[in-house]
Amino acid sequence: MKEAMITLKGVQKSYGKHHVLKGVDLQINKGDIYGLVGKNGSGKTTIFKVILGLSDYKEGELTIGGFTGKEISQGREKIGFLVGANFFPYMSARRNLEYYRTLKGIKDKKAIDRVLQMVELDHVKAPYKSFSMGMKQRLGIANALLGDPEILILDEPTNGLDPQGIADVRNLVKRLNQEFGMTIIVSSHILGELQNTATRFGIINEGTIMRELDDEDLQLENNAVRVHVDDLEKAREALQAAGVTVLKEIRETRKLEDFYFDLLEGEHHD
Amino acid sequence: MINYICADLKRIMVRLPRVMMTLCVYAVLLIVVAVTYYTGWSSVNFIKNIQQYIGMVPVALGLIELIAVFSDDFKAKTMQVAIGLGISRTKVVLCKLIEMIVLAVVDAIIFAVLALGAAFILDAGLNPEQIREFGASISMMAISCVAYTSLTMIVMFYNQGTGLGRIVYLALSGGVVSLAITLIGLLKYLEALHLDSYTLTHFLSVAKARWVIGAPDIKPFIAILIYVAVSTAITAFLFRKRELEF
Repeated sequence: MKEAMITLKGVQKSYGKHHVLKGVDLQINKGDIYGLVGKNGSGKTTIFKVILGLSDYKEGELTIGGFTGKEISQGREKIGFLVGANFFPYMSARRNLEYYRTLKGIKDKKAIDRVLQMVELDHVKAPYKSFSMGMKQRLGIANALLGDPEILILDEPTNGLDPQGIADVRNLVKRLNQEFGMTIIVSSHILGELQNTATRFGIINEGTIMRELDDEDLQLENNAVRVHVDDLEKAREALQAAGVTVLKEIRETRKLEDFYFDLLEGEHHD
Repeated sequence: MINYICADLKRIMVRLPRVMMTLCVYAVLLIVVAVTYYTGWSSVNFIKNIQQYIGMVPVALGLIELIAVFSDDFKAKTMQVAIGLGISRTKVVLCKLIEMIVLAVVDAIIFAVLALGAAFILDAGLNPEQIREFGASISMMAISCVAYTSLTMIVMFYNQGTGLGRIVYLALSGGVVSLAITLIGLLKYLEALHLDSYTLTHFLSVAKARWVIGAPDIKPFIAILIYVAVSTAITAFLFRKRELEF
């Protein structure tokens, strides 16, 4: 059984009379890439704020890394997070991270080089205010990685990114999980992208987790398989001859993303 | 807390607009010295003119440091990261106050070095009493900056910004509040209730006056300390109740 890194039980949160979280139950296990999916205003960011201590909650229980109650700040020390853009516009990427390195008490000065290389911002010297949206998000991820956290929280990290940026973030998230064993929580309202990235999912709507599921739950019933054949007509005839009824036939299409990257690659070679 | 203070001070010390503005304040100090030198150089004139200038400095220098300590942090929302890293909101408030104290002390030291250095180089002939008088004025300059900032913090942390805070600070340190109270006729009521002798400005004036004449009194300093402590406590309380803005 996997170790639970973050657990919320019956967590409630209101802004005045508006109930944002109505008894949230979720569990994020060690090694998960947990995708929190819901529409805008469903409570995704509020859950993160509660976990990070940026917002109080009315009722319920929160446990982080085995710590709860008054000791929960010890659990929060294991978390790196990207929740909004929090950088000084007049400072470069390196200087902004230097600020946070000091704030986090990280003695290793090379930590900045490492995280900047991971997000490919190591050669950028311009101030933050001149960054593109993608660069800003990447710097946010770099900051979240400072200090080698065990848990990474990324709130809509692909917001405003182009397809290449989205793919880069996805690949980075997977690499951090597979190579470094990081537990990662990613929120998004883009279902397809989250499905490509996460291994477990929490579907939130109007402040409640409707369902938690993992890859297996997303598999179709056992009788639904994807078959590539060299001759479609012959395959149909063979199935019919064998007395098999084809319930649904879906022509497979290329992913738009694959088409896009193939096209770009072709242009570069030209 | 220490890490947060160090990170902020490192950032603030090299913030170019702040450096330029503080250099302007010091430059005006040297201009005052120069004008005094050319229009009647004596230790008495030196102390008189410098003290007149020092009286205005909490408005200018205090505002510069207030903006440096608070403005960028609120705009970039970096204190939210500090809170997310486990620094409590009360500690964030305390850190900001400590940063203000450090900057006020540094400014006072630079001020003193420049002024006394100029007086020594130009042979103003200051006696120990005058040096003590000058020291008291400089120290009260720093204390005034910190004390007015502590009151202003209530507004800044509640609004999570420095827009209104700058106006409040200017009104407090520039005597506008006192002037407004006088103009709208409230002063006589405050005097009748003896409340006029419990304002921060009054305690700062009394503390400075007594120290300058060589008869320092601890009571106004305790009152100033209470003002700072209560303001900080109110700030921390209100900030704890506020939702952070992303």
